[in-house]
Amino acid sequence: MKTSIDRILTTHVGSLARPPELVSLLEAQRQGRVDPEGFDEACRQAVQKVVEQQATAGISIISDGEQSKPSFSTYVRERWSGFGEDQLPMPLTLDEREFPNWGYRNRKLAPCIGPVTWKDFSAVEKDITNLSDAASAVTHEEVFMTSVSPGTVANFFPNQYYKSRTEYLETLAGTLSREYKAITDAGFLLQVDCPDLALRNFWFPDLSIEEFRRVIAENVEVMNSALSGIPPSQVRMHVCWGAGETPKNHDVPLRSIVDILLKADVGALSVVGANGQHEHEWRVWEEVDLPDGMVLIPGVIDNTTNIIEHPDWVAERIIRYAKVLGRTRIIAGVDCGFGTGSSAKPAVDPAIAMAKLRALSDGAKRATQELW
Amino acid sequence: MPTNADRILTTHSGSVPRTLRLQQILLDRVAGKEVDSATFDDACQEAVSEALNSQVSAGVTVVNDGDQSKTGFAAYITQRLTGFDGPPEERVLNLEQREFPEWAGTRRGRRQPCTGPIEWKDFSMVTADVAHLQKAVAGLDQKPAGVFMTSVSPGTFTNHNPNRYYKTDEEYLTTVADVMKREYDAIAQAGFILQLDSPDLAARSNNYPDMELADWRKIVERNVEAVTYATRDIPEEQVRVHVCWGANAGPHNYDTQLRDIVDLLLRLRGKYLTVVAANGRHEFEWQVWKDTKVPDGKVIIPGVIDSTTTIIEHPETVAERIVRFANVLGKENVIAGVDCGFGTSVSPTRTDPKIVWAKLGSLAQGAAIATKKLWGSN
Repeated sequence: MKTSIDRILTTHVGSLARPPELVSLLEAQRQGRVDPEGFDEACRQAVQKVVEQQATAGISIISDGEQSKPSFSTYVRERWSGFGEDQLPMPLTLDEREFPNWGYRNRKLAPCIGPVTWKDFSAVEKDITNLSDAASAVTHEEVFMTSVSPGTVANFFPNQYYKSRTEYLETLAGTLSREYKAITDAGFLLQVDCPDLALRNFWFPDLSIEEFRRVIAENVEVMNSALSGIPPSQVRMHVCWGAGETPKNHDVPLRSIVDILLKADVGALSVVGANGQHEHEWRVWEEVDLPDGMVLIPGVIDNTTNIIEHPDWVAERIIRYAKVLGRTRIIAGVDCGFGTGSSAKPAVDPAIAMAKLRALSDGAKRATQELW
Repeated sequence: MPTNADRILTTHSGSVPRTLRLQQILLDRVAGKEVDSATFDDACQEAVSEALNSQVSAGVTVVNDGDQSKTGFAAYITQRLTGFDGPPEERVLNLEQREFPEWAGTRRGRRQPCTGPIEWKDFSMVTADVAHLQKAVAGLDQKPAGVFMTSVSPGTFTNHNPNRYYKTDEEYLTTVADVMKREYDAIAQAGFILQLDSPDLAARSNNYPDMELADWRKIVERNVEAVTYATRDIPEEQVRVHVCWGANAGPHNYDTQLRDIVDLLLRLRGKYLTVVAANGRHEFEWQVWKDTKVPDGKVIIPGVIDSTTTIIEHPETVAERIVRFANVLGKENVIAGVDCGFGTSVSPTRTDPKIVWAKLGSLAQGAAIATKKLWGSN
């Protein structure tokens, strides 16, 4: 993994808005009525475009924008067997309970009802080829590809088949490890998306923090098993409290989970640092040090708002972290994805998202001037 | 009564979501439906009391009526004054709308031009607002540290209602200042702090997108003088000016920098000046105050809560923002505020008011943390 040796590198969290044609194709795919060749071609073109856009915005560590995926987490349903239809209600989040007039998601979850196995690994291979091809055409430092964590799959697809949660998690880890390995074998950085490690409010609203800590400790352990054989320096982990503009009034503090996060066998931790509920948490690093071989990718851009951060403010945020942890241990990032799911209209206008990534790289340049 | 000598006081920018009942009545009135005046008055009093009580419960110390009776922070004026009988005009596209056309969509803002002599046609709306707030304040168990009421500034008035009648823009601005003075004076005479809502002093992109900064500064300068002129009979301690770049969650990437206007803002008459400081476009501007000489007695009210987002700021984030300003300006010279209004116009959709109260609660908790850090023992 390249780090900020002589300047602050920049990256983002992975997903970017998809073109409208591809959004329609993803919906058709979900309904089982897509022309595979047309879909593949649309993915290839979309990846090429978002890769160019990231390079134009000056981002150093780029991704495929998750163009081929219907969402950062549920894409596994297109690739694996073992899942039923959307039918299980989600519990109300603590925010929804506190603010009943604010709006409900009314999302239904698909349970795991049979053995989880690969049915279409070629989807992974196509993603890799598309990203390799697109990246070879632009200037960049490094390439990353996202994949979901076992714990997040377990949250989105509740277990109704395996004997225990542990057995389910271990199966998911074994299945995911093939995807993880393929991504790192391609020479990409693997980013494991782990909202499961922070999102008590969504998934376990009725657990105490202590009980939640036990859940995520197991999730980290299982994720580590899925990563075995992959050098930590090729892996980054993204942790967040959900991508949306929600009240976030019941988010577990970073301080309450950071010790568990740092047990992950990864070379970088991407964590929210820009939105107002978490902005103060840069101070956590005054008390907690990163283990050797791990860098921090704090969000210095808020992915939930169309307001474009001023580059001077981006620089100030970066410098704040750099002064605590050391400039070479910071890569400037975004709080969460700009297109975590394809079905919803992106919260941030796609052109504005690119302007925000430009503000990120401009801010990193200003921080670099001050820090070097 | 708490003062800024022993703690960080808290306030907000004026508007909060209207009660559902009043919202419907206001929308009916805008649509031209007849609403019985006693019903309207009752709904206003109820809404003002509720807005005030909610602010106090959240822990806000400098409070107001939440702009409850008003259809919009500036638009309300056409219901009170003559001179606006013509058809509305489409606004010119601002710089952000031009750069991001897909974000801008096809919706266009409108302005109600001034097409006839401006005179009061219904000053009772002002006296009613004053009476409602006085009654609501009287109902509180404890006197708040301060009570304010908003009014539109002369410059914003002329931006929102372009001149199509007076011979020159100068004559128009002077007339507006003369007419609005009556409202300003009435608010001050009631013992309230007058807040002049003045996006005109910052929002170049919305109002004069094609004007160079230097030329636009001349307009700002003229508008600053109009504030001085219109508030001349009000003690400075009772004047505060709210400056912002518009309440919306738009890109804001053409916002004039505070640094380019701060000299003019500090010429404003009035003890208090509010500035945007919580959203990502402006948060870095606390640095401006490091090398800006602030006149003695001036109190700055930085936004430490972002009014455009549902995300509730953590009290520690709020405290950090406050302390940053206090360390530069002196803790007695800072009141913690909100970037802009939570309900700058009555709209069929509205934020969940509970989220607004939670954000104001976070403001108060953050101010308490900052107070502890800045004063020690409190």
